[in-house]
Amino acid sequence: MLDIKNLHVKIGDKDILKGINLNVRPGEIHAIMGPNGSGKSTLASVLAGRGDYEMTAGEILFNGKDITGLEPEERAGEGLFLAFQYPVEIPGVTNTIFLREALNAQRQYRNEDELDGLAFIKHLRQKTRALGISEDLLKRAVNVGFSGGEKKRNDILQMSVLEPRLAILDETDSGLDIDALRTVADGVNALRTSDNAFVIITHYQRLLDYIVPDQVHVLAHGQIQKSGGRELALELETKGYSDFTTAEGTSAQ
Amino acid sequence: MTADHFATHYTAEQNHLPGFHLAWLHGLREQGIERYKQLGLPTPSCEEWKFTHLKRLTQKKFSRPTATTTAQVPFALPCEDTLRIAFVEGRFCAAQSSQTWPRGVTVDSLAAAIDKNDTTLRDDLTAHADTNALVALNSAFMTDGYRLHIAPGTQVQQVIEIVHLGAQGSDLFWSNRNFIHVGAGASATILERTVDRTADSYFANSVTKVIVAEQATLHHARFLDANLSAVVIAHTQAQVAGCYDNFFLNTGAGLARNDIAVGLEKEQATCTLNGAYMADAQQHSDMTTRIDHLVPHTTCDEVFKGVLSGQSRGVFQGKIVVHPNAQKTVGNQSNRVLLLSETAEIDAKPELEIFADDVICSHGCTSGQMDDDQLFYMQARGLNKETAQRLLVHAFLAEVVEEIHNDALRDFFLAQIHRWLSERSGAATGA
Repeated sequence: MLDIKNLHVKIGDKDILKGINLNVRPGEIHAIMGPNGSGKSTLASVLAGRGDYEMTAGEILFNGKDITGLEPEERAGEGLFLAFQYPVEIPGVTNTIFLREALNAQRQYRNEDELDGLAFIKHLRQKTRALGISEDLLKRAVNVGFSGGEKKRNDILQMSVLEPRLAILDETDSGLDIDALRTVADGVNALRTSDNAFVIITHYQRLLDYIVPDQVHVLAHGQIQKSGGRELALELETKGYSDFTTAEGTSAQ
Repeated sequence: MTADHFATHYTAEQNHLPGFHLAWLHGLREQGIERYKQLGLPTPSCEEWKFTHLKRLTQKKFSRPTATTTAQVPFALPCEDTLRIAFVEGRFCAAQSSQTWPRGVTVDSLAAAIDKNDTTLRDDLTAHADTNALVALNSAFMTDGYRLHIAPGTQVQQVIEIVHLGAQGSDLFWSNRNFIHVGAGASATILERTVDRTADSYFANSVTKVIVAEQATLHHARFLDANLSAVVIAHTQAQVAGCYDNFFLNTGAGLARNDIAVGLEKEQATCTLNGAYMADAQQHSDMTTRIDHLVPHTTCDEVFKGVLSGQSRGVFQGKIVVHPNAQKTVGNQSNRVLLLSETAEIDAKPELEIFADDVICSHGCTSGQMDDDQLFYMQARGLNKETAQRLLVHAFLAEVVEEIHNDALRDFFLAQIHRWLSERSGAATGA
């Protein structure tokens, strides 16, 4: 589904990703863990199509298609979703309107019929209820005045409404209390099918208590240093990242 | 200095102006043109006109309309819910205005009042001072206008829609003098629009005198939507003892200057000046306000939003003066501008002059580009950049429109914003 080959990325003069290889198949959950400054969030942003990075080598295939030339909205239309580390506030645009516009824009991209008002509201209500999210949230402007936890829940609501093929969760668990963490995990588990996949980027292993990954990768110094099963996450929890941060000293900052 | 075109034009026209045979009126016109000649058109060296150049008024020879044109005036609100006042090329158009008015509401035109040598008109005009060159120019040439009088205690239920339709001919120039008087305890809502559809270049220079008596409320919503070669300068001078609520949406002319001066004259008097201005291409949009808190316990609230695209230029000058005895004044002002292109420009000059010590006053001016994080977030959800921008700009502007108390007016203004954004969809990306 997602095939990243030898991905090199720079910001300005600085090499951030130095040859990433990653293959995610349908139905899989991959966790990417790593110390701060290892390039985790850069990887998420590059996949979603953020413009301020320069890709210097490699390719990103999504469902067999090279997406490196696509705009962020085109990638979304292809079925890629990024849950943000810091979901952005959009004053004056309600959640309901935002989600309707977004879903219909994606459907249009895929040459599917747009949902009319009623069909959309039904779809939205169902997803909201399934996640146990208050409907009041739908009438509020996107993320405006939301607590950290509410913002992350809102991103997960967006994910379940948009039903992506591949969702990348960029440190969605940072700063979350246990209830919000469960909402995130429930959202992922509810959406999980044999056709879609998740890449979970995290610093800590605690989210992985609720979402069981098929593979765990350790990212440090812009490269995947080690891959393994779930036990790798548990090992990192006890040992920390010291094995991976010493190689190049502090240069990874 | 070369001979000023307007001064020359006055000499040629003075015996054709309405009421030229009335000595008192002729005297006022003479005073006006003398004052104008003395001051000349404002230049950038004049502090209040530092950012707005009137060069384009000297590049053409504007003249008074001579022929009477009849054009269909496009009203925005349905006839059955509104009272109507129509102007074409600055002339009152009785046939397209309401024929009957509710009890307590009196409407006549300046031209009709001059014809009748109306003594109240004489009092109104004599009491007026020519505060600057353009107001003086208006005094010299004033030809027509509306005089709207709401008797004390009258609650006007219907919206009064006033439409000024632009010119059909070329390089025309007119000077309207309007009066709105809302008597004690009365209330009214006005939608005043300056529009043109197929119009040519013109220069409209209007002066509107507003009096809002004690415990009276006037909602005065205005919309300027003129063509790119029009120059529209409007002075509004309000004496407020009650509540004056002025909303102004400006999608512009070639050059638009909207001057509002409000004096809060009685305790508990309040005013709100809200609005939004949108401009693109080479449009110039100037919003200049002055609020004088003259007595204790008065309140003003002022919120403007601007969206500037292309090579347009926006000007916001907002002055709040708290006079020495005006304790317990509350005055808040903000002007926030979104620049959609690298070449658009905003000049903002907030000024607080406070001569009393027990007051609460604030002002804030911000300007910035579209937020890249917001755009990326929306794009990552599937919206293309244009749609994302349009949603963001609409939301930015809608905030100020939401304050309008009347549903029909609020919908009208939201629709205008929506239309402006749709027309510029794709062009809004800028350089």
